[in-house]
Amino acid sequence: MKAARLRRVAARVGALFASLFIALTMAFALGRLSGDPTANILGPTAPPEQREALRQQLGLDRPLLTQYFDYITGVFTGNLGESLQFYQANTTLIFDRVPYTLQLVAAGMAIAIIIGVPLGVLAATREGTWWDRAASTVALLGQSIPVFWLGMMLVVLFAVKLGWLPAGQSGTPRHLILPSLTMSLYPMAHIARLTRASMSEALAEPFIDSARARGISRTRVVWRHAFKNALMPVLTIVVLQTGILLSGAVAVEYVYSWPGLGQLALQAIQFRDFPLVQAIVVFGAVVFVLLNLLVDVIHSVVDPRVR
Amino acid sequence: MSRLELDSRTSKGEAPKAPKARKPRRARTSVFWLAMPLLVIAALVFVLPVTGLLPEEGQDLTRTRQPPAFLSGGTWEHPLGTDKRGQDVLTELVTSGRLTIMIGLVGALVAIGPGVLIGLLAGYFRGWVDKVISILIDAQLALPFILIALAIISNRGSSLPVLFLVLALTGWAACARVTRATTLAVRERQFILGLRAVGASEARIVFRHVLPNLAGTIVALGTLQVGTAILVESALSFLGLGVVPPKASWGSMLASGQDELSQAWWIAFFPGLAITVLVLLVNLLGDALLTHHDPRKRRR
Amino acid sequence: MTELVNISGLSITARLSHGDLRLLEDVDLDIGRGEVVGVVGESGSGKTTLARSVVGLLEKNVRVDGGSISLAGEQIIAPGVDRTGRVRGTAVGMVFQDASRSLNPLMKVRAHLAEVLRRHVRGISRNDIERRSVEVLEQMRITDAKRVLDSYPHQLSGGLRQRVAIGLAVVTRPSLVIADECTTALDVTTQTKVVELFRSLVDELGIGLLFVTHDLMLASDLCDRIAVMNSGRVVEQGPAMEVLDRPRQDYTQRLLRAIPTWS
Repeated sequence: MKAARLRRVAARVGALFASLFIALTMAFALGRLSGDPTANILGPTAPPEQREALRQQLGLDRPLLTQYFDYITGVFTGNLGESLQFYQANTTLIFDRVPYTLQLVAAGMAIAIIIGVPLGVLAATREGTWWDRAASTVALLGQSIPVFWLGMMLVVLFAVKLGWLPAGQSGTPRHLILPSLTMSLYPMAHIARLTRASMSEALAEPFIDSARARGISRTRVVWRHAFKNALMPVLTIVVLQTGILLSGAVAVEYVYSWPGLGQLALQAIQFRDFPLVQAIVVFGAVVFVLLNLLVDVIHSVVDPRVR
Repeated sequence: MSRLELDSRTSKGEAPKAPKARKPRRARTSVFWLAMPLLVIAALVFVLPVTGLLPEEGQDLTRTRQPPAFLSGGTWEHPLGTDKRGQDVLTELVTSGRLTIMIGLVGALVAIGPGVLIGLLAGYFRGWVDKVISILIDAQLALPFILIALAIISNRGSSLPVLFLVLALTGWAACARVTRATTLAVRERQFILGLRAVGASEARIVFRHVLPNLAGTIVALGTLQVGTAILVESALSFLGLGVVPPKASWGSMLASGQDELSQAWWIAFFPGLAITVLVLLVNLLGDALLTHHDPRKRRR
Repeated sequence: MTELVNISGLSITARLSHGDLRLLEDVDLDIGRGEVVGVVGESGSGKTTLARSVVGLLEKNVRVDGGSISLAGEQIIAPGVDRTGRVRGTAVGMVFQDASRSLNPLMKVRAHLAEVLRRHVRGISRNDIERRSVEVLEQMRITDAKRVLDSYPHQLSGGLRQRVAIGLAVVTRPSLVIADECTTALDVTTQTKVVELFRSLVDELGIGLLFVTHDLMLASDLCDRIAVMNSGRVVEQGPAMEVLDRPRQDYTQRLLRAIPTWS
């Protein structure tokens, strides 16, 4: 029993590492095999000597395999190179911005859960009714709106027209309201849809009828019996959406001039700061793999059957 | 997100219960009612410019930032107002809609094509082919699309081919995953097993018998992918990384409206609304098609 | 034998998109204290609907449109009336078909028992919960009650799970237990043990048992009286031996003939 469990965990961690490795390799390949970045960095009119110098600086003149090896060891030793525009270690730049993005993601995800989960449960417990249809439509709408556009319109309404909230920058909790609302929309829609599907499946289980037959109260049947069984896919999507939010942050941070990772990524692209872009991509991939690992851990905590 | 599909338990072996209320078969009609407005939008975008009914194209600095007709100061000459260079927003909306729709369709095709082929191979041949492909799919899904977009665009700059590359790379994995799962199921059906037993060639089985059985799912997936492609395009164009001037899409219109928010919000409002309506319709249609082809969902 | 359950003229209809479907038509059935009444019939004969209607577990589109069910003289089901909420888990316990699916997979057996006890025994202490849980499991002929209490459903064998499910139904000392196809998912040996368990429970506790099954032989082993159902009607009912030995209805005869015999 114990050994089998250990083997399962080992296999899962192994698969995640394989996934991380492939993701890193893809990031590397996308960066190198799609052509010589120096032309793009310096512009087409740059003299060849200058491009040669930059190639050397970036280590692009060395054999591809050596580059790849250095890159991988760099990732595992926490060395992601140096930025071309800030003359600082990329890791420093990234970790300076992480708290800001994290704030936004945490607040956005909190709103998404607080609204999305009850909405999904409501729709599932009243399946086929007007409530259900309304909740499902709202959820689908949430997945169809361009997030940044919603952000812009919120700015127009609450900052420009009504003047209730600041339009951009960061600092106070008031600054956090509009961006985190904007951030929450997409995951909220996703969570609501998934909660509904998962709940309606759980509510159809025989143990729900059996709990009702034992006279357990409706609230308890819905939340303790059905919801707890429906929770796993919802938790999974919450964690994975957190990863996606990290990348969704780019557009939202741009709209609200929020000084997070997304802004950094945009700056890096605008200044053709090739090493920084790659570092951010690697950071994102690592975070994503770690979140996947977290999903597995949560799964084994919630469900005794996979322990 | 595979675990979601894997975890979903199907009900089996229950005692006969009172029959559940079954919804009337509305799938076909709802597909029709959702496809209609989409056709109308497409017709407007492609036909309207030819009719000469629209305000003429071009800049006119004497009429910059005019509000839409329903606001005070607006005129019916420019129903949706004008932008900072005095271009009519409605005309711009219609002309740039062409590129948006085109990118949505092509963007879906470039993701669906390889995705379906790869998923088909994995699902049909299983074994090591399936293992390798599954690992690739997982790895691809482990990279958020924006990261892939950043990696490519930082290197290649932005252009339409790069945009399609991004859409293909970010879209194929999800399609491959669903196709693989569906193929695995189709493969075990009696008639496929029968064909194998009588020695039909693998290629023939895959393309003549398995693929047609996936058609419904693929069409639904493709429809949903159109919505995704339009949203991805609009986000990238908004950030200046997708469609860039002189070409224009709804996303790039949004980008130019961003600086004008405080003075002329309508410049950004209408293209965003257009994207929302289009994507919502496409998603509704995709959902309806998916329900239509997934008997498990239809029962609900 | 005093009367416990009185079902008279019960008619139930399901509303479907293509019209109404009669699930039960004018069903009369009585159950006395300490009596086992078997309801037999094929799939779709309405026997499960009958069982579920006693605890009010009907689908939303299903309606009672005639007759009534009374428990110990009190009407609990009638057209527009549903007082089953009061008796569920207190006066009536129910055992379902497949215990691997009728127990919550995320809750230990202890949590299942504690939940019902806490719900129905006001102000019960933690010690009493523990004591009664062990007691009821031992009543179910479970020898290592402590270990079973600490197990999740998936860690138990099928027979053990079903005995836990029965224990859950009787732990609140109901006067009526409804068993809906509760032996179907079990193998024959385990079936026999469960049937024996039911018999002794009825004899010891004096409860009434409504035993729904499609297995005529099993019903004849356990039941005092048998009602045969076909397309929503009770076509025949009477003492078990009488129904089996001298079936009056064609339908019952056919059901009996469908049983494979050794001869």
